[in-house]
Amino acid sequence: MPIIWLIPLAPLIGALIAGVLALTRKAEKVAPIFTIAATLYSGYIALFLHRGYASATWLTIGSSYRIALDVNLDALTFTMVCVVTLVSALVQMYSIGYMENENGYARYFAYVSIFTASMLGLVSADNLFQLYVCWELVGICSYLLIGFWWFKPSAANAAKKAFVVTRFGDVGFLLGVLLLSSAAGSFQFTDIAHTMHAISMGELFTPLVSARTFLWLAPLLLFCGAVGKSAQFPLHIWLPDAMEGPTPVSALIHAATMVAAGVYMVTRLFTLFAYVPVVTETVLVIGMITAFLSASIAIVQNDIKKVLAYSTISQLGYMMLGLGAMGTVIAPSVSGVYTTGQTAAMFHLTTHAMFKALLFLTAGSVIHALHHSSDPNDMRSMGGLMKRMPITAWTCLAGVLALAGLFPFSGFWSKDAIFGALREASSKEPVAMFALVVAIIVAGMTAFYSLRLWLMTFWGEPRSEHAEHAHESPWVMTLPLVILGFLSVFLGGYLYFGDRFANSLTGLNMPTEPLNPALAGISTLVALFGLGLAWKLYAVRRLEKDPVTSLPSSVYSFLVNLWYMDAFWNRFGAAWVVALGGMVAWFDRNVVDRIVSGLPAWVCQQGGLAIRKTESGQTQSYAVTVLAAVSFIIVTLLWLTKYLPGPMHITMITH
Amino acid sequence: MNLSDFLVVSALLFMIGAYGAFTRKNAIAVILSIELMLNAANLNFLSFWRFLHPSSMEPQIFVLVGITLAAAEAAVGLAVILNIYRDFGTINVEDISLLKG
Repeated sequence: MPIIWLIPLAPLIGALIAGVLALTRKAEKVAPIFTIAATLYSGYIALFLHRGYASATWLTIGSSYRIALDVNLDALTFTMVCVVTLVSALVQMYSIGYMENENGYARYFAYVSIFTASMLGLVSADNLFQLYVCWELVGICSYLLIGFWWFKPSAANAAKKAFVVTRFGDVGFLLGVLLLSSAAGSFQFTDIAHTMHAISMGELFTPLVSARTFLWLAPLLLFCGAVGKSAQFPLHIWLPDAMEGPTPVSALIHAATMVAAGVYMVTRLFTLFAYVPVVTETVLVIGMITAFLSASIAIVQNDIKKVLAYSTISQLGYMMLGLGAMGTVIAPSVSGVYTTGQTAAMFHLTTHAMFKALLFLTAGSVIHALHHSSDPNDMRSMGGLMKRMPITAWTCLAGVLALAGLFPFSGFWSKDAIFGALREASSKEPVAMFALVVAIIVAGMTAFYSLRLWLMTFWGEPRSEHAEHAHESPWVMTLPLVILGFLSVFLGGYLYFGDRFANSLTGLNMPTEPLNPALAGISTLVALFGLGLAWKLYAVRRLEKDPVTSLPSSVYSFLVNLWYMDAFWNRFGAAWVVALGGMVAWFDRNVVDRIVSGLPAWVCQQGGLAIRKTESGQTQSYAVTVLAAVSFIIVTLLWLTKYLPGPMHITMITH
Repeated sequence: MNLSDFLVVSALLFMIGAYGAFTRKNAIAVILSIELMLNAANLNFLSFWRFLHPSSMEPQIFVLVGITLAAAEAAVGLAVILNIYRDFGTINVEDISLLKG
């Protein structure tokens, strides 16, 4: 067996070991050793092999329909495998400290390791079937880990919400997978790309719908899946609730990797999206709405994890903006279109994975220090933690500045790449120009809320007794922070210079467009404005009242109520389903139950009463019945032999 | 004397036995009636043997076994009736109706 298979399988083996430890409840503390080693081993194989391909047939349907399991280690997968294994290993190391006194210690690591295996399976897929299976597997891992503290009703509800809301998108994704694979007669990406090309040329008939419809319908159905999984408007509502899970899980799954799966999928299958402008425009508009909406909500949140959750949604919106913008096509081919937008989105995905994982882990470090408090997530009862938790504070600042997109932190380079792609697109599409303006405004909002988060948490004087007595976390927790902090500062610049990222991703050695000084200048100015505003409002010794509460009350309540999106879904999503359920329940109770418990029950009852009378307990009457029955049978048989010829013929023998 | 005469006698015997078994209230009389029905069956059996297959021996053996069984049945039946009398204080079959639904 080629060693490349171990990329997804090693964490699975780690998960099995941790699972056995969890079930036997023996030596739970050694579970992370196996899972971390397995994760690092996967990453090591990927780095060692760099490129590779392995494929095995899983099922064959009919003569030609082949369902394969693949490990396709190309440039894009290589990037994702590096991100996933690095973040996963660091998060697991951090979890050793964070989850120390929790029940279900080994179970936690088993779940995280299954997640890592599924995510690696997802990014190494070379066919839609495996992609879809792993897509659902990471979904179930997310469900299990959000509901890790299942005894809390809020956690159980959040897990269900995440699962059900992403299901809305996944229905579309499944339909897209079926539509494309039935047209192509194969699940392999290259076959599907060639089929799409043939359809656009009018060389191939399409199932169910006309070729014109197919060209926009199939990619948009796939995009539905990305909207659910990557928490894009209007299905973003599950991600903030998913913060009920343990914080390292939020860092790994709900910031760095799983929620980026939608972006990865669109990047991987971008050839399918590029045929009709309306498809990329939809991606662009959805990304724009998502980025703006969630950045505005993040400004007024007081829960440290909720701020980061909305920030994640907003940054995922950025990635979608980059994908939708397309930018300049670098490497056009049937099976692999590469655009500057794609490169920018993947670049931002990579740097975002680093700094957002870092921010979540620092938030977890703070929450860990305050975990005796009644609401350890509430930033209003924090403050002054810089002196008490210096490593957390400084690494968090690195993450905040990277998120704000300040030169020369990681976020600056990737965010600027997205702006560049939007600017290139804006000459062709007016909507991209508008999106660029919105994206720059969102950059300012991002800078504001990220520094607000940092200042409310670490600056000034403690606003509660728990914050007063907070202590720095142990080294297993701070070491991952330092590593991620280092990456948040330097990774973006390192990958930008010499076009390392773009060249690695496209496999081409060509210079991409240099940084546009005007655009970079504007985005830096906007970011500095956001940072400066936050500094002016929040860098005070004693923060008596949160300045954002003095926004006009209509605006403030609009933002605090999350743009009424949850209310919208409750009204128009959930309420209709509940009303329909009520109607069905009424029908069931009053019509179905009446018929079922009415007619057959009446028949049974009356029949029972009638038959009851025959059970007299008199043996003699039973015997009479037997005699009568036997007589009846004999007479019938004789009568039949008389009138009916056939097998029942009884010959009367006479002497 | 041909086969049908014997069969008529046997049928009468069986019907008299059945009538007795179904109508008498005294358990001992019921058992006596059942003995009549058994004998009717034996007579039927022997009649067919005598007129149709006189050369074979098996029917005689069957009937002998039948008679033995009838004797055993009478013994068991009387023992059952004795126990019923002990439990219920009567051997009137109408009063013994615990199985009534």
